[in-house]
Amino acid sequence: MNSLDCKRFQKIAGADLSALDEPLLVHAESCDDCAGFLTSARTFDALLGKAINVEVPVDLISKIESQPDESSSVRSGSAKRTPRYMAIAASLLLIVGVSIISNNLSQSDNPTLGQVVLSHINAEPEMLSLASYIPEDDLKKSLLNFGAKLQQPMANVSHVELCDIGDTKGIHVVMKGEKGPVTLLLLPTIKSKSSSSFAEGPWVGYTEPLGQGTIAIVGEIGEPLDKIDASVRDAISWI
Amino acid sequence: MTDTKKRAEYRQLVESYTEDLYRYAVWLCKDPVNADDLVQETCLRAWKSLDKLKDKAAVKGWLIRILRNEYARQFSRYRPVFVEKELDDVAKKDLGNDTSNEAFFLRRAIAELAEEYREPLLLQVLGGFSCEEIGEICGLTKGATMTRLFRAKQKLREQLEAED
Repeated sequence: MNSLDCKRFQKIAGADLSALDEPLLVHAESCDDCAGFLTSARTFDALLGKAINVEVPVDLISKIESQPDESSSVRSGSAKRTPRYMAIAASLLLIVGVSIISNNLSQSDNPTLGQVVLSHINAEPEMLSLASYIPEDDLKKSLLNFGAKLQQPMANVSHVELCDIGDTKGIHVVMKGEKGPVTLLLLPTIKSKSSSSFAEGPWVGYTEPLGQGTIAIVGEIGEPLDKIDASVRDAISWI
Repeated sequence: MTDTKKRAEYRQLVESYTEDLYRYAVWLCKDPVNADDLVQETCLRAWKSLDKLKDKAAVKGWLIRILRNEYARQFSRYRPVFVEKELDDVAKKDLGNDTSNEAFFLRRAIAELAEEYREPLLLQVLGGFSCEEIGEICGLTKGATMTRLFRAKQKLREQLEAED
């Protein structure tokens, strides 16, 4: 085994498998360490590709191919390009009509609100970062912009954002829990009559009526969500 | 360039690169509808500037640069509007995410990567760009790109192993 070759091999294979040249591949054939590293790197790259793959709408290419014609008709007063509602409809059609990445939710014809909530959280993992907390005044302003009023202080909130949740809008709040980040989704336009609980992977949560709308609370297994629920109900009201 | 030739080039460009642009746009926008808009706008700008593209071999990188610029210009000021919807309709969306634990942890770890590591990784995995191409898009040397890709994957592996 030549340690210099091994070092070079693993540096390249760990970054870009397609950059491995013939001599390096030959080296791996005679080096158990590098052969093992190569197998592991290939497996990891495949996993990575699958995890971050995104299904492409079936009509996207044809829609874009026709853009030059639509673009030239702008000058004569027609629409510039495909209206947004058509894009939304196309997106919905895609998601409903095409089986996407194999997963639990895609196997369900009628996902529950809990599944929609979990799917939304899974789609925005960056929101779970608890790097810093939002000052109370900023939180108050943000909530006001989104149709909610902060009546009492809420500590340890790291994110607040108006999001597309399923096909509606909701306020996505992330705050520090005892076990880890806790996600609150405030859904002012979703009227639920009763509560329901759900669990998947590392997450447990439930949805409950909140005023005229619904609140969803999700945290890691073992998180005392009821404490946060109570504090949120005291702190937030719809305008 | 004649109009016929320009249209043929545009068609080829769209058929070759739209899917990669869309995948990258979804990760940037975190929203398929906005990503759709962003790719349409990117291609429209490409159509308008197609005559100016001298190096046809570099078209993919050129498109990604247009998309990144357009994203910075347009979506930093995006503000969604409330729309009343029934729960049955709500449940029809957001079904496209792999909810396996492994995929979840990996996506979360990618999202937590510093931008300087995440962007080269996304360009490689989603766009299929080589280190040289990523370097050109991100303004890095090939060596620096390799280092960032190596470290990005190393961090992800470590986090994934820690979750097991």
